[in-house]
Amino acid sequence: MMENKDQNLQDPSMRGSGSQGSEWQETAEPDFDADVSALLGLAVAETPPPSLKRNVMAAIRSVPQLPAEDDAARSHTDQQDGDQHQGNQHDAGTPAPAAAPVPAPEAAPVWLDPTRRSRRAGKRRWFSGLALAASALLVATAGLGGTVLWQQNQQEQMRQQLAAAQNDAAQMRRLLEAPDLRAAQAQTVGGAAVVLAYSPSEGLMTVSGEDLPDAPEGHGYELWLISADGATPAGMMPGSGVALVEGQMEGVTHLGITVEPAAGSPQPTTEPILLHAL
Amino acid sequence: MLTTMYEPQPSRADAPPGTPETTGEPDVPTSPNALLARTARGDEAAFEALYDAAAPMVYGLARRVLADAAQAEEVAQEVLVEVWQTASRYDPARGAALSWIAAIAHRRAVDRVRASQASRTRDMREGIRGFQEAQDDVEDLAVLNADGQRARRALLELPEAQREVIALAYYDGLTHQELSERLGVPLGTVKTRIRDGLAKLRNRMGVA
Repeated sequence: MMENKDQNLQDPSMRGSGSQGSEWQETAEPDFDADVSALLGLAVAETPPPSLKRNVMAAIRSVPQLPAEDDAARSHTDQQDGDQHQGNQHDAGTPAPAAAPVPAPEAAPVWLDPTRRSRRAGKRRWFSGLALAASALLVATAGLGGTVLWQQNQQEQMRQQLAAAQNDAAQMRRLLEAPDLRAAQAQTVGGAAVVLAYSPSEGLMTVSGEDLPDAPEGHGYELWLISADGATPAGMMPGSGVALVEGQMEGVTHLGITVEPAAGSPQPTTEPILLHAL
Repeated sequence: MLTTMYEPQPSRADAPPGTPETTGEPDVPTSPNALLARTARGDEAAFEALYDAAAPMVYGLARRVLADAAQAEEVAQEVLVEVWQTASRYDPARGAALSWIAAIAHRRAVDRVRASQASRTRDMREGIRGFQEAQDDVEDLAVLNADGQRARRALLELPEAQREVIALAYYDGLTHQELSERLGVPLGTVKTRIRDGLAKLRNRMGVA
């Protein structure tokens, strides 16, 4: 079904040659079709910095894919539906999990863009809950070694993504909807930007530090919630560069980050690379 | 932390997927179209290979549009993650995978530049100058695959007036009105130059 599409760029017959003139008279900006984009994009291609690949490959591990869209017309009709679960389980060819996108480590995250999200029509809203239950059942079934609906690796991948994404999505949603949601940007002593979003009432915080250089071999970045009582470990910064921290945040005055052995330390053992007053 | 499960074939550097030399061959497993289809099924190795094929174009485009390297990297990341996320929405019947990706990249980069105050103080002509200088930059040309080299040559062979207006419109995101004011030519002339220039580009890429 996709044979020869790569030749689109070279094959003038693939393009609507007559589509420009008249339409342009009405538009404020020139209309560049996708093939022209590829052409003009390729003409200025340059080697990206290695950090781009690192960040992108890390980011996709925490960004679930959208399921195939069976009806594009329905996709934007339900912007008000806050349901984070797409529950599009009827397409067995799409292993994408039934879950909302979780944050890419990115200043303008794709998951905040409402146009990125596929929505069922309002009348089908009930389907999300049902599909979620169904997918949970599927996961349980898969876990018990039951009916094989997908190949083994797809099953496992889906199970992991689903479990992680459901949990993260639920927490992200609580955080985003918290009335006391706050955001802040801080800098490490090395100058890397760290972005925080937190809600004391929900006890949730995201820490995004995708600019952080790799920690020394066998080490990682440990997060600390600091109150008058001292520093409480808040987990290691994951490879994706975005940590979701859950814990008591009332009375917490600072967030700290130190370099610790990869397994983590019960107390900070090095000078903090970041100490941010909340 | 980056686990590389996929090693690109050495030959890919010389004959990147989608090069015109493959005309008539069936869809090869490493073509961007095939990689994007596998990406839609959650295949990280395929996505990594697709990254290798598309990232220079995405980053270069963002760089040219935004001028600022840090912002370009940000936008490129956003675009490439979006490719992963929305791969299932790609319809091969509507064009090549690289075209689909380039269109996303261009839209995001132009959106960003329009949203930022910097766009108003930026030297609009820098894009063109940089472009012409790049012509002599052998090292830079070497990173382009066959399509990229052909595309750059095609653009450079356009008459100056057409190349200028296309570069300003595409890389700098200027509207027809802005182009008319900047170049001091009537709206109609702007549109004609763009239309003729694009027709030439298409033609050149088509017969190449």
